[in-house]
Amino acid sequence: MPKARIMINRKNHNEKLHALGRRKINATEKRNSFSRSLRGFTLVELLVVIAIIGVLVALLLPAVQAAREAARRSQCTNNLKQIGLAMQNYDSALGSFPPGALVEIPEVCQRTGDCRGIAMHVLMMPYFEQDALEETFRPFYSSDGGWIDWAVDNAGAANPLISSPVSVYICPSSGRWNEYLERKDYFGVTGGAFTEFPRAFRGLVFSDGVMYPNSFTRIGEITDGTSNTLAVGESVHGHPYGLGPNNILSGGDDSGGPVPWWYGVAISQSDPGRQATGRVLLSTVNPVNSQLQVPLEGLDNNEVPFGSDHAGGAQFVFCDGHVEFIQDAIDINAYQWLSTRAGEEVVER
Amino acid sequence: MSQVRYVLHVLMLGLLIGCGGSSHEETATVTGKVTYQGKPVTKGRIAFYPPNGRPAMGAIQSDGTYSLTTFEPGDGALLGNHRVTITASKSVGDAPTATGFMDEIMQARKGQAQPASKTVWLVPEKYSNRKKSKLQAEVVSGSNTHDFNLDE
Repeated sequence: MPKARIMINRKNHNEKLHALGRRKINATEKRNSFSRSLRGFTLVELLVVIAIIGVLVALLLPAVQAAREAARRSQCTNNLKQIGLAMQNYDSALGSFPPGALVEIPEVCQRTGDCRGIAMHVLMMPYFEQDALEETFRPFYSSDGGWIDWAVDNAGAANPLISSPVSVYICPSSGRWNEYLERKDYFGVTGGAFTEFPRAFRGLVFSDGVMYPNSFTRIGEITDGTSNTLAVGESVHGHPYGLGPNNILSGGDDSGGPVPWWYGVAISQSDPGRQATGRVLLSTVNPVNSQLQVPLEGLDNNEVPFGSDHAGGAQFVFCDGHVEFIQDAIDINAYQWLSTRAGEEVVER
Repeated sequence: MSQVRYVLHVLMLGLLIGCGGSSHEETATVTGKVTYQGKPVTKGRIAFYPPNGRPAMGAIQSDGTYSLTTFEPGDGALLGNHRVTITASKSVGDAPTATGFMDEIMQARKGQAQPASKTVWLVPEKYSNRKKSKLQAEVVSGSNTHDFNLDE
């Protein structure tokens, strides 16, 4: 008990001393400052300072913005690299690249409607540490409804998996669909030089690339060379059948909306050529970023072009895993040849 | 006074910086009108494929006119001899009955098929294929007008 009292006393004493000392210092400081400066700035001096600051800001601001965009773009490059590695790992584990979509078409698909299946974006997930999400799809791999059944089962408020973001599939440079974090900005390259199907249903269908429904492309089949063949590219353009109020089904205009990562394909039972694959796989039939200039006509969701909000082009990961920026100005033939796996073209770049 | 002049110089310098423009290959504006069997084509898209480089595209307006775009809106097409495709079609048959994204999913869950629509070509399909279309157009420096009057 006495020990504690002594401590309290000492503390009070210190505080008193401190307060006194501070009061003294404050008083001296005030006196000194009153006696020192009397003169202010002239107008010209002020203007010079403001002008210099203005110039510095004017010079720095664009540079800062450019640096921020460069950082976002390299994050996007990273995402594509990650996807490329996931494809390689899938190949190491299972002997082929993941299929563009895993669909049981018509002989086996027993549903009355279209066959659905599972998208490549889900199949690749265990290879970039998203096993947990992929596992929720396991019960639906063999169900005819595929991703549709998964979506309905996971649409409840208690378990909102359908609106969960997958950061590897989001390009941070795109500010168009900020409110849709479940979107994907990367799509498999399904070809674009040659189609065996007539235009119908949802636009042209290609399967001369690496990714198409049930493709399971082996590296040996890519005779154009893995470093000359596109695997996955970015597209931030609106899909007529995408999310949001401008979805063609919601009576919006043709500008469309983004597509969630879990969205798969729809393949008609009666006619395998009638494929709605544009919400998973895109082709090079239209030039990079062409949708910025000419909006897509009506229902042709398969023909959404690749493109990005990085200035002047879009990024792609090739089959060997390297990421490259393809410019808007690329020759359309070279662009389409790059997208074929066995076109036997010579592409000069 | 010299201080004021100095300030003005600094400001002018600031204005000058950052006024560089982007450079693309030279393009020339291209406009025109598309008719099929004497009547204007009311929708669709037209594309000019140069021998080398980025193709130009344009939407066909309801009066059949179009204006091409390569890099910036309305800048036309690259110079040279182009192969031209015209894609104009519409879907007939069952319109989609779903009224939104989730509704489409719910319908599919119930086993409803996507509606079986048929494509009707407003201009024959052969004109939409770059490898089959025989249409050609020469784009020269300046402004170009190319009308396409198709009969069969």
